[in-house]
Amino acid sequence: MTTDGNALIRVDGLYKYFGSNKVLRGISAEIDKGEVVVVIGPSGSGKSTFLRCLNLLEEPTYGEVWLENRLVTPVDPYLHPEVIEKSKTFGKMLPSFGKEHPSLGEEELKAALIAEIKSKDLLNEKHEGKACKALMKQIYKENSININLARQKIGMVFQQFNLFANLTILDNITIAPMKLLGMGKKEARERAVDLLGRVGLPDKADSYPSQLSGGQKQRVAIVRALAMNPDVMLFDEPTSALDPEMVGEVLDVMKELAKQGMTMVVVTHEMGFAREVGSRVMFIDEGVIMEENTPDKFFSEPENPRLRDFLSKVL
Amino acid sequence: MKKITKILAIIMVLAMTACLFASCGKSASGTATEGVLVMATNASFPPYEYTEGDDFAGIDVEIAGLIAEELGLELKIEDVEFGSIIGGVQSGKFDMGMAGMTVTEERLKTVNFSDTYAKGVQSIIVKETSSFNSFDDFFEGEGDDKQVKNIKVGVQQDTTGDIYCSDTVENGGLGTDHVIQYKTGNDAVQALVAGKVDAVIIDNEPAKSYVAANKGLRILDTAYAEEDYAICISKDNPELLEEINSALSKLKSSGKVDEIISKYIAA
Amino acid sequence: MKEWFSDLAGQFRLNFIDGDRWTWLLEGFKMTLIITFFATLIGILIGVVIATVRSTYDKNYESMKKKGGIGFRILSFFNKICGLYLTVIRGTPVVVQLLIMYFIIFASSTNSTMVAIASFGINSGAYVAEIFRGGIMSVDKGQFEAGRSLGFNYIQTMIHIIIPQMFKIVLPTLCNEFIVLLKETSVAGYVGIRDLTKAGDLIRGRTFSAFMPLIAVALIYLAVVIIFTKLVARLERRLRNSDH
Repeated sequence: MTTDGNALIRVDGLYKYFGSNKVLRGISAEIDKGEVVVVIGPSGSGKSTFLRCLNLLEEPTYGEVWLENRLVTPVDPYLHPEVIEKSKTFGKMLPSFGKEHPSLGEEELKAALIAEIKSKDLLNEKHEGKACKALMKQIYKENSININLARQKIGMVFQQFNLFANLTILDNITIAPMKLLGMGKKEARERAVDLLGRVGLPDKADSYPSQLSGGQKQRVAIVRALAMNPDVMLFDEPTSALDPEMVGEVLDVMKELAKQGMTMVVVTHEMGFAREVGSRVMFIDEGVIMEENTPDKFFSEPENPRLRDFLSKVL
Repeated sequence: MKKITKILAIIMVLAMTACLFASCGKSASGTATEGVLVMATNASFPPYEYTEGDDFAGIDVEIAGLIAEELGLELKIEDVEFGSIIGGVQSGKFDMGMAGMTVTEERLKTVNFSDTYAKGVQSIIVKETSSFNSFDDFFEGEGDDKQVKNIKVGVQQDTTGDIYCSDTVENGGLGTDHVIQYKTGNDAVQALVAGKVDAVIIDNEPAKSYVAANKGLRILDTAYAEEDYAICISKDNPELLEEINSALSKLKSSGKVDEIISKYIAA
Repeated sequence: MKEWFSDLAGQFRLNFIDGDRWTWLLEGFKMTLIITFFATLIGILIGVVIATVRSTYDKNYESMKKKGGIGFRILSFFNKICGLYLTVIRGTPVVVQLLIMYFIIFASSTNSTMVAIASFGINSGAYVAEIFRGGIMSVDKGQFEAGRSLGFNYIQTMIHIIIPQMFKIVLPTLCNEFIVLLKETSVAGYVGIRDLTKAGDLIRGRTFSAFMPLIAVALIYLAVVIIFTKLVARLERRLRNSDH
């Protein structure tokens, strides 16, 4: 599973349940370097949850997320047939399953049983025996990346900005590079001031978040994430909490970022942005990707009836 | 800051006014409540006063009962802190105070005392293993160099033992630095058992009870001080003082007082 | 009225001037401040630790329970210990705790001031812990997520982001707890410590008057509380400048 070239982020069989509420029901996707993937969908469709699973702010119920070929989530046994084969459940079921399907050859039989276990969610991780556990541990050890390291490479921008209320704008931006990357105070400040200048807020360094407008806050939030030099930026409805007149200033900063080649995953309702900046548009509804395409085709020739219905409402 | 001063002043005035009213509330008759003789005591001082179940018992309690009988009054006992007895008696809250109380110069300034009804001795309790054998052993050096050793003595707060011990060395005490005042005599003895203090100075009778109840303690043969116990009565009520004195002398001559004392204290 | 005033002057002389009794109040006041100050420090220390354990457990219970593992078991264990501590300390009067500490737990200690400081500190810690936990839980969840999304681990996020904000939220309640503690130390006399209240008691026991010593003691407590409240109000104003 660790091969396959350029995908910056790869998502395999992602499920997320909140109790009995099944928000994500099997999402697989790849995001390549330099891509701007725009995720749209009706509210409650699971698009924000999908985004938050990418940096593990939500822990997936099933499925794996890989960043630059390193495993971010725990190992999902259902994605590894060799793990299922080592499980006690598999061992117990094999004889009777063979009797039920006498026509199958040995390899076919195993594959069928693995598929059966997978589809019916029959594994109980705590009781699958040492061999199974050891194999999962080995896979994890060989492939995983520390979650905090992974998050340093994944910048995130929230709908509600979430600037640190107790810190000045400058400290908001410099705290992570200084504490996590060991950057010197002088260098961190110079970079922060430079970035603030680029988003048009050169004079706000010493203000507190509460003194800024929504649009200004969101631009600072983007700068804060950029200060860590991330490989990819996640945007969770970055303009939804803004007054209409402030949406433009934030979108401009995002467009500029895209132009500079930043890999971005953007959950948004801004169809104009999707069409203009997106390299790919993804429609999520009822916890699955219903359709994805280049912006041109996505908007001009939508195939899925739900997408057509959605577009007719928002455009 | 001005505001604070103002607030403080107002509170001060209010408190003073309250005090004025309180002292006006005393009735003119023989006792605070007609037909009742209210006695204040601190019932943790066996065998003079202590509690037995819900009732009070002890030498003072029984003598007080007889006095009330003589005066034709009903006896009511209030159990308060020792230090609050004299103040309460003088303010008229209680008619009399009876709590193994010694007559001292200081106390005489505030209240009147009846004739003596019993003799008290301030004893020194130490651990059996202690090297102290008299009060003088608490000191080292001679003449002007005389000073208290590095020791602590436990006492019951506000008792004569406390007042004597807390006084300066010249006045026959140990100085406050060497005294720890506990709320009850029992606390002081528990502190001695735990090794927090080196000795406890307390009235002889309760001292015997404490030594009997706790292993490893002994009473020094030489007492710290001897004193006379008496009943305290408000200076504003000389009539009651006279009545109590005549009742006491009747009870003493009839041998009833001795009877009660010997009942509690095996000679 | 004139007589009453001269009587008052006499009382004042008797209670404070004679035998330099005012020095008792001064010494007692010092003792009260020492006990309160160090007990507050201990209380805050205990409070931070317990609040961190308890809120960590509350926040991560769901996700950690699923995974199990030794980390979760250790956290569960400490959470239980903290719960027990809170129950016992908040369920018993401070005087009883003080007496237990003095006569049973630290029976061999002859330093009663230290015992009192430990006792009041441990008592206060239970209340401070719950104040802090409430504060941590009331810091916006987004602040925590923003910290984590930058790559801070749980503890770093707590230290750099959550706890500084929590302090601002809990300051008024914390100030209140300090005032309560200051007044609660008045039971230190039970173990023979000469604090402010005890000093007043001792004066009362020797002058046999109630008014002067009690009012003096009350006024000193009151003055401390008023001054302290003013200081906190000023501090609060300064902290508030980050959210106009």
